[in-house]
Amino acid sequence: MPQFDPSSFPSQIFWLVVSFIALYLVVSRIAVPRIAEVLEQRHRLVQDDIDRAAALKAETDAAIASYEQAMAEARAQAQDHVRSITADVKAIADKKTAEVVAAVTEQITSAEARIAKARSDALDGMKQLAADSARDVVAKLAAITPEAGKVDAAVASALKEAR
Amino acid sequence: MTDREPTPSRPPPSLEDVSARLAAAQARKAQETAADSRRKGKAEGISIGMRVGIELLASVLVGGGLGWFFDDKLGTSPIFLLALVSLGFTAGVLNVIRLTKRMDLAQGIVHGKANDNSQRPKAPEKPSDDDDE
Amino acid sequence: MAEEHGAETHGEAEHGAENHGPMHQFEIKPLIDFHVGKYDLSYTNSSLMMTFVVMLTFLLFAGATRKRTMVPSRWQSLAEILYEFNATMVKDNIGKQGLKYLPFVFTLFLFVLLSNVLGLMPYSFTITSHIVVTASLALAIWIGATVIGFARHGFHYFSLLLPKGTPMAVAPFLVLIETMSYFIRPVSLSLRLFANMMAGHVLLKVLAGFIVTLGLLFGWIPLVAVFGITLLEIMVALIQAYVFALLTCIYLNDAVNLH
Repeated sequence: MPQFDPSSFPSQIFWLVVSFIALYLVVSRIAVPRIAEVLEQRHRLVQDDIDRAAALKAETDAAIASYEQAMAEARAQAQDHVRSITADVKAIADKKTAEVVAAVTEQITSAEARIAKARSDALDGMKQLAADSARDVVAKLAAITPEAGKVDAAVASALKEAR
Repeated sequence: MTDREPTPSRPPPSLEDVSARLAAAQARKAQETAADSRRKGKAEGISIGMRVGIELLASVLVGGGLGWFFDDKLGTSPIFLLALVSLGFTAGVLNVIRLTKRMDLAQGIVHGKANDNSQRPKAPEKPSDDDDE
Repeated sequence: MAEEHGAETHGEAEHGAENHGPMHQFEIKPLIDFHVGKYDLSYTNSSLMMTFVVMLTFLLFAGATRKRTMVPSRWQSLAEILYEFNATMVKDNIGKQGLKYLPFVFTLFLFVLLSNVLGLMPYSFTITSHIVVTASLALAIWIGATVIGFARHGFHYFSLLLPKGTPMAVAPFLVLIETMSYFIRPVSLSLRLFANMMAGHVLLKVLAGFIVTLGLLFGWIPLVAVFGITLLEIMVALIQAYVFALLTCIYLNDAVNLH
């Protein structure tokens, strides 16, 4: 086997060392720094893009949030308005109602008073009439003129019984 | 105003769409590293299979060589040869067992110790001499 | 087979066309005589392949990374993939502080990879099919790792030979085995690459010989086999380069991080 022929060993080792050092220089001076630089740059670029997108999205989210807050505030304000107006209207209506009720009550009361008076007046008139007619009847039938006081008392008691 | 937009006919992407894509991009960035180590584990599995035979052969050769050398120098003919060949063979078997263990885990195990370097930084970095020495 | 090396090499090269012995492909043929003292440091076909390896690497990395575009060209992609593969391997196995060894590991990987792959081309020569080359590389790695280990940890580096949590009863025996293991490292490292590279090439040569022997009628059988094995050999060439670099990382990790 040519692999175990020691006469070729010095040459192989020598050129191995030479080319390995040359290769090491190529790798360490050119390949590694350049590629590391490119990869780092690309990584930074992509990361920057993602970061910027995330920042923009956060901005959008904030805008949406503030819009929604303003919306909610406006809605609450409108509701307050509606509530206060409703309350006002209700108060006015209540007042009006109370006034009307008071007026009507008063009218009813006065009307009742009038009715009561009219009734008692009528009753009095009727008593007088009954007493007069009773006296007349007695005078005509019995030819006696009853005392006015007795007749009145009798009419009154008769009315009480009739009632 | 409208002529500034590149594609006026297309509506702008909805916010849900944008945030979904952003989240996906961020997740992809984070996952890249994990995928790397999985790939590596597979490659290592193949490589280990090819090492077993040579491992045994090399251990016996080293044992035999050292044994022969000591016997030759000390004139203790078969003693060192036998002892070191068996020691070498034992070491070889041990190494093969370690290899299989390593294949099971397929991740940095040397001498039965776990290597905590799997948490790799995201950024590819230049080799730096910043630490120690 | 190679006893008639040296003086008769030129004569052999003349009838090299007929000489298709499976070992012939491993011959070292001097191209430019170069002697220093008693040493024959001639520039040979092996040295030529090494030059190709260096030039190819230079062309790939200097050319592909000349523009350094954000969206990489095909060659720049290849360069980046190779770089990331090695950087990942180093970081996974040694950790971040291992990155200072990245140029060395990367150089080793590229050297072995290109040697293996270029050697698969017809009429070329496989640098890594010679035990001197693989052994020199492995020894350099092994000695380097040992020096780094002692430089970083001093006398403490010996604790590598006694795994943690070993019962005292078996400790002396285990130290012997671990010492043996440590000395086996360069041997298995060099033997593995050498054996894999040589075996595949011998197999291919033997099968290729069968194609001619069997002729038109049955020659297609070894032809198919040669095709399959060539694919397999490409795989082996890649995997062996990876294993070589990986083991370098593992040995460096022992030296850098100890336990």
